[in-house]
This record gives sequence, structure tokens and C-alpha cells, in this order.
Amino acid sequence: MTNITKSLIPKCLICLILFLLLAQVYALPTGELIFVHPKRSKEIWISNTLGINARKLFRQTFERIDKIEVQEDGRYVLAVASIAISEEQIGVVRFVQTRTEVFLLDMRNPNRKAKDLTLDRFWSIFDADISSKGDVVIVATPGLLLIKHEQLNEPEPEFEILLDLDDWDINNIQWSPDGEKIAFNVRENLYLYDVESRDIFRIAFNVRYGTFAFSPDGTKIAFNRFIVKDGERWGTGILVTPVEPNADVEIIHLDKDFSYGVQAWSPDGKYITYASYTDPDNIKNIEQFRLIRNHIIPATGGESEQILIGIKETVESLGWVHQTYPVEPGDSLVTTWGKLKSR
Amino acid sequence: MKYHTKNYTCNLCICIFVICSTFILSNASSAQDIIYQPNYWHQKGIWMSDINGSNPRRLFNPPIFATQISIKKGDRYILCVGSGIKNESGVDVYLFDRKNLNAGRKDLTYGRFSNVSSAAISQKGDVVFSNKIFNGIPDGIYMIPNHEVHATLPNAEKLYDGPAEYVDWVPNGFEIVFSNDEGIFILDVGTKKVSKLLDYGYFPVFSPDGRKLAFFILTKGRNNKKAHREIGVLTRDNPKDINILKIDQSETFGLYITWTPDGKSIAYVLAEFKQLVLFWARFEFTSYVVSIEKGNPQEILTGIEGGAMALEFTQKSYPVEPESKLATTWGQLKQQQTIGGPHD
Repeated sequence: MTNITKSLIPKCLICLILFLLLAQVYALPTGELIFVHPKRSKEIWISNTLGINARKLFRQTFERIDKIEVQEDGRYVLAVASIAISEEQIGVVRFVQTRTEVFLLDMRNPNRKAKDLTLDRFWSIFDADISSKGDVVIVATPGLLLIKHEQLNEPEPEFEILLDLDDWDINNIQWSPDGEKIAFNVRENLYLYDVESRDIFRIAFNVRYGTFAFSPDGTKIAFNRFIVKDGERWGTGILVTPVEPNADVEIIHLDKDFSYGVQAWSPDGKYITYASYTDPDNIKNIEQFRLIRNHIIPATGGESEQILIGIKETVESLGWVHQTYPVEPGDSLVTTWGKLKSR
Repeated sequence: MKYHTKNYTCNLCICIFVICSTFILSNASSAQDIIYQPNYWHQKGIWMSDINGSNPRRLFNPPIFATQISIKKGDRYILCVGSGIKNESGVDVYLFDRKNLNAGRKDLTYGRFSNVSSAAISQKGDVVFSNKIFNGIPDGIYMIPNHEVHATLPNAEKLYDGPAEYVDWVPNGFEIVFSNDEGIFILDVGTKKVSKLLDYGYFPVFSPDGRKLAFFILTKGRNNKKAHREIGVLTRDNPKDINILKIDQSETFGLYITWTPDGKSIAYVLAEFKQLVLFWARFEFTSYVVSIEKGNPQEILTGIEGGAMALEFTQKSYPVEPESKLATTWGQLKQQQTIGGPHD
């Protein structure tokens, strides 16, 4: 080994240590969050977990987006959203008649128009989700509907009714990560439905808000339950349970007078994201103020950490993807200062 | 002939005098440029003008509406307290780099402190701000040290736990002056010790040499007398001896106060309610400069329609666009975004 090489090794090691130390400063969970912008509810945005490089993801906008679901390991985003079918301007007031549909958006083609999957065929639409295989399930009148992935490219995708809403008053649904089962809640009970065998069993009871999320390996599910401690109403806790019939549950997070809505499990399975709410009168200091909005918590419980800080509002609907997407538009590498100024 | 020569000489002298005067006046005005936030009913962005408001030009168009401006003197940073536009909620502290205004805003607080009430940047680049939790509960005073300012999410240290409305650096960079309903206070950054300076007054600002303090005084109306506002000036050596400068208009309220760079005069903004438009109160703003020795307020920025809401003096003019650059790459922009570039 030459003297030059010998002298370079310690320098390289120092540089590597420095780099690792610096990298530790912002050891945030990786991946990006796709969400309905809380102040611009017509738009779907994407950001790192801090929320400081947030930007609009799709060119398509809607009248209002109720909910989005991001395909696991895939390219699609499903939106339950309203579109304007007629509008009238009287003075400064705009009257809009809307219709709610389920739309499919392609992350690989963010400038492409969203595809309407439901096409005004259902009286009311409550929820929808897309599986890792690309199958779409919708809760609408008349029931739990399945649109198979091979139908997505059809002009008018065909559907089959899996469950009748008269028998099952379903509110919210979620595909299991393997794309073979569907979790849904009926009032305060959480069930699992096997699409192939049509078997149904109850996972949990006393489920609040109908928000739940599967772990990436599909073995656990996180949900909310109202907690009473020593005869006192505390708030809504975050609980995790194995995906088994009436299994034991574990409370992983609870703060007095706060309510939570479980949103997603991180792609690496380490964290659960949730939205946190409370009555403004419960906020007496800055520490309590920091408990509201969007947070992550280790899936095994522990200290929570605020995410999407740059958004400054509570994001209601989000999905977590492990891949990152470029900030710049795909079709232009250079922009003029004039254009930038006009933004 | 003799008469004509005399007349010609006289005219020539007058011409030279006028040209010289114009030259001197234009230099004087360019030396006292003002950076200001115009009335939101009339203009958007942060503007710059001479003291008369005769050459207003937009300096840059940040996606915020500023209620307070602080300039790191002799350096390049403009600090603004402001709320985001386009339905963005909350009031935060934003930093702008004059050498790279197109880089956008650097959000220092990111809604983490609920609503920021007031902020200032010191000569060293340390940032101090006061805040209230969103439902009006006072929180305290925080400092972001200069080495944290460029961090992705700057850390802020709490210096004072309690009500604080307006904050400003004492020019020594080691103390902070602040006001609340109980008066005006000095906070020592090192020891965090708070000492009361006055039982009344609001919006305290130190002169550039740090020897004098100017502030608004609100006297509530009693016994059929209207409420009135005054400006007080005291010296740190003798804080009991307060020089009172009267504000004439009783229907207005003191919105903003700052010193001229020479420390001889105070500039202030008075706000006057005009009308209610839908649910929005419409105000007009008038700015003045008053000499602390002679009094006699002079209206400034007279050419600015609707007036300025917040203003600070600067010594330099800056180009709106980066020189010799017509384009930027998205890569560069991305780099800037990570340190708080354009929001959308």
C-alpha cells in the first residue's frame, strides 16, 4: 500500500463518519406522503414526511375530494371525489351542483385526466380502495362492489356486488396488503372478508370513526377505540390487534381529551400515522398545541413525532409510499425567472 | 448690455443651483429608501420606494402578507412576520435573502408555534419572536440562533414563558425589549432575567445606537375626552425622563413604529378604519417621520395609494431579478426548496 493511499484512508473514514453524523440529524422516516391538501381540497399533493417540499401531484382537480387511497407498491391513486355538473354565479355567490364518483389517477402520468370508474351508476358512494393487484372495491348503494383490475381500462368498467348494503351497513373499507381480503366496519365492529372464500369474521369491536390500517405484512391492523379509564372518558386511543378473530388488542397511544384517526402504516412497518384532534378549549399551552395535527408513532408504541409540519393544517386523508417522485415536471428541465416570479 | 449680462449670470446661477439641488435631493432620497408592505387592498408583495413614495417598485412578491418587517442592517436578510396567502393559515416568521429573492421564503417557524405576534433579526442574525397559541393564549418569547436559521426546521429556544406582544432586539444583540399589557420589559438573553422598564407603552423599538427607546402610548378616553395616542422616547440612562411626541389624529391607532437609520427621527404608521366590506374591515394607512428633537411630523410615502402597513428603512437598492441570469435549472430550484424555497 502506498503512502498516499495510507494517508487517504483515515481522511475518508473521517468524511464517512461526518456524513453519517450529519445524516442522523434528520433521520426521518423515508418515503413520501400523498394527501388531499387540507386548504385546497380540490387537489392531491405529495410531500416528504416533514411536509416542507410539498407540491401538487396531479394536474386533475375536483370540486372536492373526500378521500384518497394509494395503491400499495403500485402506480394508482383512487379518489372519492365530487365533480361539478352544473354551476351558477349569482353576485359573489357560486352555486354548484356536484356528483360524487370514484376516480383513478396514474402517478406515472400525473398530467393525465382522471378516469371515472363509477360513471353516475350509483346512488351514493361512501368509500373505495384499490388493492396491490389493482382490484377496486367500492362501498356504494347497492352494496360492496368489486371492479377487477382487468376492467380498469374498459370505458365502462363492470362490477360485481360482493355484499348487499341491506345486510351489511358498511361504512369504510380497506384491502389487505396481499389484495385477497377486505377489512370493513359495520357501525362499531371491524370485520375481515375473504374475497375468494366469502368467509367473514370479526376482528374487533368498539371501533371508532371507521379508520383503520393494515400493517404492510398484513398480520396486524391499527384502529381507534374510545377509552374509559377509571370510569372517566379519556378520548380515542390508537390500538393494534392481530388480524385474527376477536384477538387481544394493545393500546399504543392515548392522550386525555384527544381523538385520533389512524391513517396509514409506513411502508417499512415501523410507524403508524394518525391525525389528532381536540377541542380548542383543551389547549392550554404550546405542548398541548403540538399534540394536534398529523403525527407518527412507532407501531409498538412510544413517543409520537409530528409530521407534515410544513402543511400547517391537519391532513385528513393520506397514503404513504416508499418511492420518491421528482419535484420538477417531467417535461421541462429549465424554467425562466419570469415564470417563477409569476408563481 | 450690462443689464443683460447680469440677468444671464443670475439665470445661470439659478439653473446651476436647481440642478445641484435636484442632484442633492435625489441622492438624499435614494439613501433613505423604504421597504414596505403596502395596504393589502391596493397592492401585493413587498415594495420599495423613496421616502416620498414617488418611485414605488415591487421588490419581490412573496406568498405571504407581512405585518412586520425586520432588516438585518448592513447585511442581506429581510425578516417578515406574516400570514400565508391563498387560504394558508397561521402567522409565521419568514426570512428572505435579498441576493436571491427568487429563492422564495424560508419559513422559520412552520406553524410550530401557533401564531407569531412579532419578530426581529439581530445584527448577528439571531431571530427572536413572540407567539400566542391559536385561541389567544400567550406563550412566550423564543430565539432561533443564527446557526439554526438555515436548518431545514430551525430549533428555537424558549427565553421567556409568559405574555409578550411586540419584540425587538436591543442593538447590542444580548438583550431583547418586549411589551405586553403590563408595560415594557428588557429580557437578558444570557441570563433570561426580565426587568420592567415601564408600566405602559407598546411596540418598543430601540434606536440604531441602542441609547434611545421609542414606543407608542395609548391613553384611554375619559370624562368626554377622546382616546389619544402618543409616541414616547426615553434614554436607557434615564428611563424616567420620557419625551412625548403627540399624534394629532385621534381616530387613528398606532400600527407600526421604527427609527430612521441616523437615529434622529422616528417613522410611524397610523391606521384608520374606513369601511366594512363584506366581513373585512378596510383600513387606510398614513406614515409619518417625526424628529425626536424638533417634533413636527412630516407625512411620508404620500405617493403610495392606501399607504404602507409596515415599513423599514434601508440604505441600498436591490435588483428584483438575479443579475446576468435569465433562467434557473429545476435542480437548483429543488435545492432552494429544501431550504424553504417557493411554497407551491
